[in-house]
Amino acid sequence: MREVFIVKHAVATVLGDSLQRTWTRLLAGQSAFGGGAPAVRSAGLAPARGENRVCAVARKVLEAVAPVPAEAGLIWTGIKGNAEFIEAGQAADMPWLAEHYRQWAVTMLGTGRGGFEINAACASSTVGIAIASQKIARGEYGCAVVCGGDVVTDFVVRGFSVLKALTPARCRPFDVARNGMCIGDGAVALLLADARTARAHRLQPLAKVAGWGIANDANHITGPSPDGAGLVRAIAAALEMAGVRPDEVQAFCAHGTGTAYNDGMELAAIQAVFGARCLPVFSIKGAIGHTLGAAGGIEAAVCVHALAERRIPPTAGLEIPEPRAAGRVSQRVQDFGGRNILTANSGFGGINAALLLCVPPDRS
Amino acid sequence: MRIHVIGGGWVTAAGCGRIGGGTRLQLTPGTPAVPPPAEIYAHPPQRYRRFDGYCRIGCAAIALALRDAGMDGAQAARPVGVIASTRYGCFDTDLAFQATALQDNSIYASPGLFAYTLPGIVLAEAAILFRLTGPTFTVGDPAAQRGRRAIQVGVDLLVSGACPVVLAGWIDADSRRLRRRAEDDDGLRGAVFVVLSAGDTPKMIREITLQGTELILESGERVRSIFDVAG
Repeated sequence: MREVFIVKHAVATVLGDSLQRTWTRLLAGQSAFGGGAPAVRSAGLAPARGENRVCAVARKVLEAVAPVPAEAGLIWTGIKGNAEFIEAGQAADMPWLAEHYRQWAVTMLGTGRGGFEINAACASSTVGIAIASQKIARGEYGCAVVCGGDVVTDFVVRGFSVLKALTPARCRPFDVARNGMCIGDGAVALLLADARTARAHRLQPLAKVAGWGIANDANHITGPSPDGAGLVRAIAAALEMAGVRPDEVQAFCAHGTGTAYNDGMELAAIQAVFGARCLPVFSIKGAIGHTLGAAGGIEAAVCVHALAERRIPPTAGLEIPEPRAAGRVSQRVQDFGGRNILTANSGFGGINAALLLCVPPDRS
Repeated sequence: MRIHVIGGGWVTAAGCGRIGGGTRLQLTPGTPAVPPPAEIYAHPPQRYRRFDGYCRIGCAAIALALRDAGMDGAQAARPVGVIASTRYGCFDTDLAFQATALQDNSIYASPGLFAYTLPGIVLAEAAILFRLTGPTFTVGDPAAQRGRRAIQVGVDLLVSGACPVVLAGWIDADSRRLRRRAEDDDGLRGAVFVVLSAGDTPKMIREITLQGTELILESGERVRSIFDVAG
C-alpha cells in the first residue's frame, strides 16, 4: 500500500476566503458570529451567471488549489447543494444534483478522470478524504481532489431550527452553557497524492494521511450515542491503521458543534480513548460555524496548518469548560510538541469518521 | 483478491426478491412495489410510518439481502458497512419539508421530515434495525452504472480491513413532486443490495475477483452495475 499525502489545500469560510486568513483569525480567537445570529453568509459572494452560492464559495477554493494534475480523480462532498434549487422553486438553471456539482468542479479544474460524490452527512469530506486515501493507497488513483461546499440557506436554517439544534445566543463548544450550533458558508479543496505523483508534479507533502476510521453508532438517526461508541470505534480504527498509540496523539480537532448531545458524546469518546490524559482539544465551529459537508475537510486543512506550526487555535465561544473538557479545551492558543494530530466528525445517521494526520517524513 | 457475494435482495416495480429466493431480478420502469412490513421484517422499524418512499424501498432491499445471507436475525452489534449509490436520494422528502417550511412563516416546518433530508438516513435506519456498526454513506453513480461505485467503495472497505462484510447497492425512489429530472433518467426506480464478504464464509452465492482496480465476474466480464452482481 502506498503512503498518501495532502499536497495542496484551500478553504473559504465566513472568517476568511483563504486558509491563511482563516487560520490567522482563528489564532486570534475571533468569530464570525459576534452579532448573535445563528447563521452567517459570506460577504460579497457573487455567483457567476447560471451558478449559485454553492458554486461561488466552491469556486474560491477550486481556483486556489489549481492547477492540479489532469489525471486527478475528484470526490465531491457537498451535501445540501439542492437547497438553493428547491428554494428557487426548481426553476433556476444551476447545478442541482450532487453529480452536477462534481461535473462542474471537474470542468473548473480541467481534470479528466471524473470521480464521484460522497454523502456522509456532516462527516462527508472526512469520509471523502478516507476513501480518496484508500484509492490512492491501493493504486487506483495517483492523486485525487476532495472538495465540497455548503452554504447557509433558509431550508437548512429552518430544519436545524425546528430540531432545536441552533443556538439562540452564541455557539460555545464544550462550554457548561452550550446550547446549540451556528451555521456558516464554507468550502474546501484538498489535493491528495502518493509520493511518486507528488514528486512528478513537484508537489510538497504537507501532511501524511496516516490512518482513518469510519463507524456508525446504530443508535438514532439524529442523535449520537451518548457513550460515543461509534466515534470510539472510528478513532480506534484510524489509530490502528496508522500504527499509533493513543498516547502518541498530541492534539485533537473535535467536531465540537456546541450542541449538548454532540459535545457530550465527543467528551465521552475522548475519555474512552485517551483516559484522564489532558490531550489538547479544540473546535473551530464557534468561529466559522458548522459548514455541513465541508466541515471535515476544512478542519483537516486547519490541522495541516496546526501540524506545521505545532499549535492549535483557541476554541472561540468557550467561557467555562464543562468538567470533562477542563484542561483540554482552551480560550488560548495551545502548543503541542508531537507529530500526530487527530480530527473527527460525526453526523446525522449516526456516522462517525476520524483521520490521523502526521508530519511528513522529510519534515520530522 | 476474491470477494464473496453471500446474499442479495431487491425491490423494484416488478416486485421484490432475493438471489436465493427463486425469483429473478426484473427491471421495469415504474413505482417500486414495497410489500407490507410484516412480510419483510421480523421486527418492523420503530419509525416505519415516518419512512418516505426512498427509505421504505431501501430498507426493504437491505432486509431482504440480509435475510438471503442469513444475517437478518436480531444480534449484537456487527461491524458491517452499508454503501448505497443514489442520484436523487431523498429529494422527494426535501421538497416535502420545504412545503411545510413555507407555510405560515415556518411554524409548520416539520422536524420529522427534516430528519429524513439526507440520503444516508435510510442506511442509518437499517444500521439501527440490524445492529450494523460499519461505515454507512451514499455515493453517486451514472444511470448506466447503478450501484457500481457502491460495490467498488464497498470493496475498498473490505480491502482496507475497515469491515469484514459490506452491503452495497443502489436506491432511487419515485417522486411525484420532482418536476425536473436528470437528462438521462430512464425511469427505473427501486433498490438492489448485495452482501459482500472478504473472508471465508460458509455461504457463497457467487464470486467477484478484484484484478488491479477492476471487479471481474465469474464469467470473465467486468462488473458494470449492481444488476450484474444481483441478477
